[in-house]
Amino acid sequence: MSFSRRDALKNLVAAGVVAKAASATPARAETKPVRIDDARKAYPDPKSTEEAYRAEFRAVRGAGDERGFAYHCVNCQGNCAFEVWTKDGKVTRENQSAAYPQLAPNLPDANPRGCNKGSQHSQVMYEKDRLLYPMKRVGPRGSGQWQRISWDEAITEVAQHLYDGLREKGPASNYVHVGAGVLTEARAASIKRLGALLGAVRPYIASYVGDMFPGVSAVYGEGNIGCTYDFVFTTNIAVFWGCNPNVSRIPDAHYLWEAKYNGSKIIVITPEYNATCIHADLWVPVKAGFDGHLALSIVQRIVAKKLYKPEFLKEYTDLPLLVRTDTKELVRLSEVDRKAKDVDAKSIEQFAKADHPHDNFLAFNTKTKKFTVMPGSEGSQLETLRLTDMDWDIDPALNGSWTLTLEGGKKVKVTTVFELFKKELEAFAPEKVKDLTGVHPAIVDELATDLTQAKNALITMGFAVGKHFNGMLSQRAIAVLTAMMGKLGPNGGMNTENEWNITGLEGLSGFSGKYVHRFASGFVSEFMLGDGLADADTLYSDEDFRRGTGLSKADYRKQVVELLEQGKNDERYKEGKPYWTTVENFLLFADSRFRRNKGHYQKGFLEKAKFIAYGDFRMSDFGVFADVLLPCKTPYESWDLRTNPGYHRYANLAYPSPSLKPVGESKSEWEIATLVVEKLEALAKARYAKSKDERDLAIVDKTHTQTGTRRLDELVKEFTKDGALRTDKDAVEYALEHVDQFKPNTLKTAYERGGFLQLNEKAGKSSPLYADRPYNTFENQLYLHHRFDTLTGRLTFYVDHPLWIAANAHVPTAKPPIRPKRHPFVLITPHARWSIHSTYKTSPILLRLQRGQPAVMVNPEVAKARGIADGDLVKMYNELGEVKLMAKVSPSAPPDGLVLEHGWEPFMYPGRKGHNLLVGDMLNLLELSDGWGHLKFGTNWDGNQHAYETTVDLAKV
Amino acid sequence: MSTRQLAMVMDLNKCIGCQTCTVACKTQWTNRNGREGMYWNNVETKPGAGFPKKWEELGGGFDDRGNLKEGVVPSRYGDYGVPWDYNSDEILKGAEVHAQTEPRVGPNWDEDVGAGDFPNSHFFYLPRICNHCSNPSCLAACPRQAIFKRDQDGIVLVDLNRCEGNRQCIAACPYKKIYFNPKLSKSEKCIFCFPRIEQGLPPACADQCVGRIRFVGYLDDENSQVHKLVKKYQVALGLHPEYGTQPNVYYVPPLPGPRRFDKTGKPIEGSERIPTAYLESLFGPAVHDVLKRLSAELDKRKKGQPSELLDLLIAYKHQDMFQLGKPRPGFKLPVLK
Repeated sequence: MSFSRRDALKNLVAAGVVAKAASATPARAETKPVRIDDARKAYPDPKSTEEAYRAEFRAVRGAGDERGFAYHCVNCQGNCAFEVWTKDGKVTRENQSAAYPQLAPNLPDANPRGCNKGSQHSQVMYEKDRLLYPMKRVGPRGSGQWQRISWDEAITEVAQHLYDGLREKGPASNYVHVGAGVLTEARAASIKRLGALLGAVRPYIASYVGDMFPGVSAVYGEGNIGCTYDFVFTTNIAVFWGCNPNVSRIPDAHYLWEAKYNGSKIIVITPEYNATCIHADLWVPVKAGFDGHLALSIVQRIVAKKLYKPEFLKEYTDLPLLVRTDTKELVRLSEVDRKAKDVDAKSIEQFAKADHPHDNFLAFNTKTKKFTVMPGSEGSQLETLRLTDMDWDIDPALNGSWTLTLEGGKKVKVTTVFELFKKELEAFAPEKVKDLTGVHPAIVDELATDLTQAKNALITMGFAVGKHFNGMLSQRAIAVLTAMMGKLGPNGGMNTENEWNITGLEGLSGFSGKYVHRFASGFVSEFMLGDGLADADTLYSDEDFRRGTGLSKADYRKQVVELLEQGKNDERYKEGKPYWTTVENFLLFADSRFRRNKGHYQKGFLEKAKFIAYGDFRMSDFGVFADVLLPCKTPYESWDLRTNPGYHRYANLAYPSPSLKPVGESKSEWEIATLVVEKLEALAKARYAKSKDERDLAIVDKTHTQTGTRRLDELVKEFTKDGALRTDKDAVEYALEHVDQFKPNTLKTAYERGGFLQLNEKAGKSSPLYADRPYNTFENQLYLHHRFDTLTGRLTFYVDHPLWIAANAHVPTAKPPIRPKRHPFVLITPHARWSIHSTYKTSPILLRLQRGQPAVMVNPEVAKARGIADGDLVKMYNELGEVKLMAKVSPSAPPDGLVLEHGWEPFMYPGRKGHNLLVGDMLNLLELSDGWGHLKFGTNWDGNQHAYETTVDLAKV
Repeated sequence: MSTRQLAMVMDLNKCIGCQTCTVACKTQWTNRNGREGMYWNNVETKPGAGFPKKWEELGGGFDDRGNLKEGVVPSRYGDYGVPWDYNSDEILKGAEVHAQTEPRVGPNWDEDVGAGDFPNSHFFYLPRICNHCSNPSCLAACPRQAIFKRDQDGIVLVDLNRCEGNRQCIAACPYKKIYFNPKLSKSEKCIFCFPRIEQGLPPACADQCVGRIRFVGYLDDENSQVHKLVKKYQVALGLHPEYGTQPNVYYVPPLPGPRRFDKTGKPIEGSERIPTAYLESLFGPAVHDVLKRLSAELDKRKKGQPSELLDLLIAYKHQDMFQLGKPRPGFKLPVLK
């Protein structure tokens, strides 16, 4: 193709932002070369070139009312303040505002925060896959046949289906959810509020995406604990286990390498040689899924070499508590003969609440040589872990066996949790597990010493650990290791994801208990919607089950099905997890669930869904199968606030540039929810006007309302708080007014600070949030002897839930994966550098910085043996299907694994067959178990979908 | 030579390969106007072919006697890769999404590949912009004398009025950091964001670098970090000094990386995962001393002793990394009309 320079200039002018500026000042150099015979004598003034670039810069970076602020509220959780520039109503560019204050002279500041993805949102918001108008499906689902409709028509469709569901089948037929694409305090509250008002089903996100820490909850009582990332700078030893912060914590990763310069030793534990390993002092190449074995081998060395601090274990852990050797149950005050001579009667009087003998636990006090009730448990009158005070002096024995008299006179043998744990540890000596873990005993020794002897040692655990079938046990083993290290507060310890204490938002996302949604277990509800058991039956053999659980496939499956029955629908449950099989009408936002879910989920879901309305700013793979599409705004067009999780101490503000023009007919989630509520109320009133049937206006809901009914003629009043809460801006103003931790701040102060506010001292949960120091949890436990939020009040090694005893998991243990051995490669799909899950996956700017398509990392020896060259099209396959993609040959991949960044939408693969088609999963009985102490269903105790529990074979196509 | 010289130091021990710099540069300058295939800033995984592909083998620069060496203009299809686009408008129609030109090579093709054998493989990231050389071979090679070096800061620019698109500069630049604009038929390159510098803003790549690896300042300013790192502590080196162009972008070379493993999986004490010989091929023989100096300072710090050099590299305040002689603009809520 040939074209003249004049044409080129025309194209240039048509190309965009620069064009407008060109009319005022020449934005570009003249295109005609200047003819000069003697260059040295007649050099033209270079200033016109310089001025052209200056004009271009002015056109891209606006000023005054052309500046807004935003962050990117997708599920990376990083949450960074950006300046957003507009020109002629269109966003031209963004950059980090980089204005976070330095907390102390000896602490690096948090600037500039941000990443490759956030820095190009301005390009994506005008991309070709942006949803511009409401649309209705006019062909079969997934056929891609749409008709543009008005907002009123779209809202009517949604409201009518929700109303019919409420009226004909009850609230549990509706499923209203905002997914991981909008994880914020202000914006996401809209759809949560709508769901709560209607009593709809909502699943727990962290669980279904597999980003929960249930194994940490088991030990610490909560899963989201740890520090702001600047704390890493203060460490002496910092371990990053099952994570890759250089890729998945981009805004915070600088603290690792600044910590290294500050004298800290940085250790990374992952199966693949990833981008974080490259700068580490030590990389530990653990085999995928054997993290728990490795953690316990480190604990074994700590115990064998007595590297632990006994005083710490005695006060802060349940290791001295007594266990019956016959039943393996913890000794509870409720069964003890209180009058026996060797029972310290005074301790009962001092500590035990009279009506809670079952939640009081005993130890052997070496000072009195008597069995004593321990303070601080759920059944304790005193919320302290203190062993010595004015009135008591306990030195609980960590080791020993005794005979204890039960009420009624029966004598039983008892021992300590520590004794039982030590016995279990024998199987995990480094020499014994090295073939499983792939880790040399010399490394285990090095870790045991480093972690216990350093003043400040921190283990940061990533989500990869929990993405294996027995990953909950691995998480627990790592949490137990941190307990053995004896580190809390300023000394380090366990770091998952710190969460701030933010109060006052309940009134935004809910109704203070008057109406609640039907909160479903994430991993169970998605598994059941997608008929996961069928895929598990296909993928896993009897041998796989026996290896990973000790039970036959039939037995294990039977027990899982029994537990599932107990959690179903509105029935009360004791065991299992809540989920609803009644769901039919889906109103979903920013939730590309066919990308995320495993195996043949799509088929199962589409069979159950009678109506699907989907809101997003872009067309996702899931959107293709919707019945109605609702175009939403992006972070640059919305008002919003975001705080948690607590990687930093700031709440960032989304403040759209005042001169920004809307993109298509997109609306904010708040506007959409308000319209739905208005329409629903109108539909109900209209039907009632004809029928005069009260049931058309009042939906009976005994289990999820305080009032017993949901009044549909008061929906708008309730939802909008009498008109005060209708838009995203209203929501932000409400949050600024009602959240204690945001005070004293206004839109103006947050804007002029650079698009954020700093949380005040009230935001710390279990430590003070000091103005000039990094935050880490559990200072209140360390210094003030507060109890942990666990059954015993102590860091919990021992769980005597019958299912845990039956699984031989009452003491911390580790079990191998159930992934099939038939196929040679474990499929490892870590969080991506180039997308946040599926968001930004289709950005051309970002795709050009990759291979432009999904590419799987293959070890060179594997590639050679299979005749695969770099760039070849290959297929990965197992019993669940076959997926084609490009091979990227790299020695960073282990020979027994294939490494593929996750998040690719199925439509990026040939035949629309995404890699999750190959991924099977099975519900883990221990994650299903419930009703024991602090292990009660909720945001701290649910389970994970296991994305790494699959093996595949590989061949050149 | 210019009166003053702006310089950049990049600390490769802090680079995380996130390419926020690349994207920042793209949205600032190269997402339009025929520059779509250009990466004024790129980050490549080393060892690796880099961008454009195998640029270190494409010639250019000066020989020992100061004469220009032969060079090659890289191929758009074979060496740079075309900026492929997608049919993402068809997602709505239920279509598969694919690049409309088959991607075969690109600016980050070998990301995270590196060299060696698992588990002793190794790689690191090398971000690259125009070196704004003190002795630019592009300037020397231009038959139109269209390339000039600004006197006030040493920034090397192409005068677009004079450029005729002969591309001698592209062949002559040993770093292959001048690009051909197919829409304009002229050469363009990194301009060190001089319009930003003039307003007190660092170059976009440096300002937005979340790894906080980039220091910017005048080499003759004794208070600037670049002066301290390049001149005082001498821990930052030019890339391929043997090319003879006297680059003004300097690198703190990467430390050897985590210990290698022997056959039993035991870490080998004192082993170098990244071979120093390889680093020498990039940064010249001075790299040995620099690595020793860095290691010695790290040992001091591990023992709790102070180190001004490491304090500099830690960069406690992001704003202190940039010494441009002008304050950065603030944020004021606009009065709405």
